[in-house]
Amino acid sequence: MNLKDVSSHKLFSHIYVEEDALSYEMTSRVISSLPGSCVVPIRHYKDVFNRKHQDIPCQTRGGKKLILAVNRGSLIYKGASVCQDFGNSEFFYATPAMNCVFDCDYCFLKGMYDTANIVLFVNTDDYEREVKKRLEDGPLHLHISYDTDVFPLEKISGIVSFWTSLAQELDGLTIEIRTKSAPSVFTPSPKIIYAFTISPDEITERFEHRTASLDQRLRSVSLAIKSGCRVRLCFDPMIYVKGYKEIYSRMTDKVISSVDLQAVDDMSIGTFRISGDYIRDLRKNAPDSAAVQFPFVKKDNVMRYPDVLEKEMKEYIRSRLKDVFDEEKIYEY
Amino acid sequence: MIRLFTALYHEAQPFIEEFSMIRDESCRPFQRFISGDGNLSLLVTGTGAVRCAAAVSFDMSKSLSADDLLINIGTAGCSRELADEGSLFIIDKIMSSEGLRDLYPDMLIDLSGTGIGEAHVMSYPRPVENIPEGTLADMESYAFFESASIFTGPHRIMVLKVISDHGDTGSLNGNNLSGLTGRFIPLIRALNGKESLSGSKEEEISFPEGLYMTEYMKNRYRELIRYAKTEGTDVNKLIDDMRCEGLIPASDKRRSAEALSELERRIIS
Repeated sequence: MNLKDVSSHKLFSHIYVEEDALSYEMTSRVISSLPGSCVVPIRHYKDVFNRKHQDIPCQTRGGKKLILAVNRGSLIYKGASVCQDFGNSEFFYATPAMNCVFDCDYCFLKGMYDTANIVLFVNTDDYEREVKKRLEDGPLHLHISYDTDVFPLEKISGIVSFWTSLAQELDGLTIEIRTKSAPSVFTPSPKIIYAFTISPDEITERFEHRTASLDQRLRSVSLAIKSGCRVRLCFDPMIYVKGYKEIYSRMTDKVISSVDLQAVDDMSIGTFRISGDYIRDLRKNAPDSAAVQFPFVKKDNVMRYPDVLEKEMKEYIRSRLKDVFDEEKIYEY
Repeated sequence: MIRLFTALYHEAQPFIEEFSMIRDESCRPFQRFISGDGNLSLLVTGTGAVRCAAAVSFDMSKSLSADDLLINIGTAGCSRELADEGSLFIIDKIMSSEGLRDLYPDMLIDLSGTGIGEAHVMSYPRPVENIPEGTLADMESYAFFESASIFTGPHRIMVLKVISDHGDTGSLNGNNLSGLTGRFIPLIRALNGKESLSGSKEEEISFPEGLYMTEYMKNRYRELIRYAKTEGTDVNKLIDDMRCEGLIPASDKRRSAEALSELERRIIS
């Protein structure tokens, strides 16, 4: 018997579906979009998601599984202080999904969750109700891709379309969708911000597995701009590697030459940093990754590069960008 | 190592013969067998949940490596509509007839094209005649998975069942059972030594002579070495250079701290 290499096991070979989630429209859509997948009924998503002693690298190699569930807990959260707020006095995020199709070595999700599997919450009507309730207190700036990257899930679930429609429909709601993918369909609206993480190819290839290449991301950025969308470029997290100046310099050249920067809303620059609570698991899950094995320093329970290096990295890219972009619209983290 | 568990000796027999396993006399009162290369072991648990759980706990307490793959192989019944006798299944969901929380092994191996299907199993305290549609029925899966889960993760536990009956167990005998479970031999052979099943391991790091380090410094040194390895930096050469330059050995903790800072600078820059 020849077993196929487990690394070839396809993404979402199994869909675990909560009994309560079966009646939702999104559930039917996902299941019909993945006809070859095995559907396993479950009582509660935590029975699969929160099992003890899970091994993220093994589960990633064997193909991440999808869990469809009803979110009965909090639907909208207030952001933590280490997160980017882009000048918004209050930063909120929704959790339409937990965990990510992509496999970035340094992702905080690998420290936060004990599994590689992904939960997609199908009760969009409850999210809509919660957003409307929050809007009674005033305008709401909501990130919808904080605990996940929603674009890779769009084709099977329509999750991005749900949120962009909601933003267009509800006064006072602005949403931000952050991604490392290269979407080709956009909804132009002043109330929807498409935020692209921009990384050099050397970083993407080494540490941001399965994400779009720099060229693909920049083509997507240009398409979004051409479609009349609000676009944010996030040079964050910058990852230190030997020769980072040349690597980030080539990337910046490419950005400057291929994107109409005057049409970009704003930019962010930030070096890698992560809660001290997550670093141990991150390192355990990626023992061969320089991105997480770097000897960081701990400051206020946040692991980050030494001050001098952090400043040098941020300043290096800022100095390249400020010549071609309004410096007041470059945020630093 | 692959560690097999069967309820009955007859279910174990084809594996014992195929892999030339010999009895491990140190494991009484259980019958445990081991292959000549030590890569495969087999424990006969006895029937039912209590015996199975006790046997798994016994086996785990002897030794357990992070790479061990624990596999329960056994027979199960099902409704006539679900599958014929002799059909092979890997289990994706394990239920208890007592209504306990359902259990889920990780499904990490692509078995398409092998003739092995996928099914749920319900574990009962005794053989059942009227098996509900849609699931297999057995007596050990739940106890096996739950007790194994105390010691290892769902990515290291597998449950394999072959259909032996449709609720009419009267005609089963030792020869039938051996013939049925033996159908899993090709899968066990394929899994044996399959490197990509290995989990993640942490490597031990030793400290260079001539540095007096506090626990904090030792932790920092470990971090530096792990990072250097990811970048392909030859740390031994850096340390040898520092020895040649007289920075190592350091005479006290202060000089050791300076040497460590210098090593850090050389590794990062």
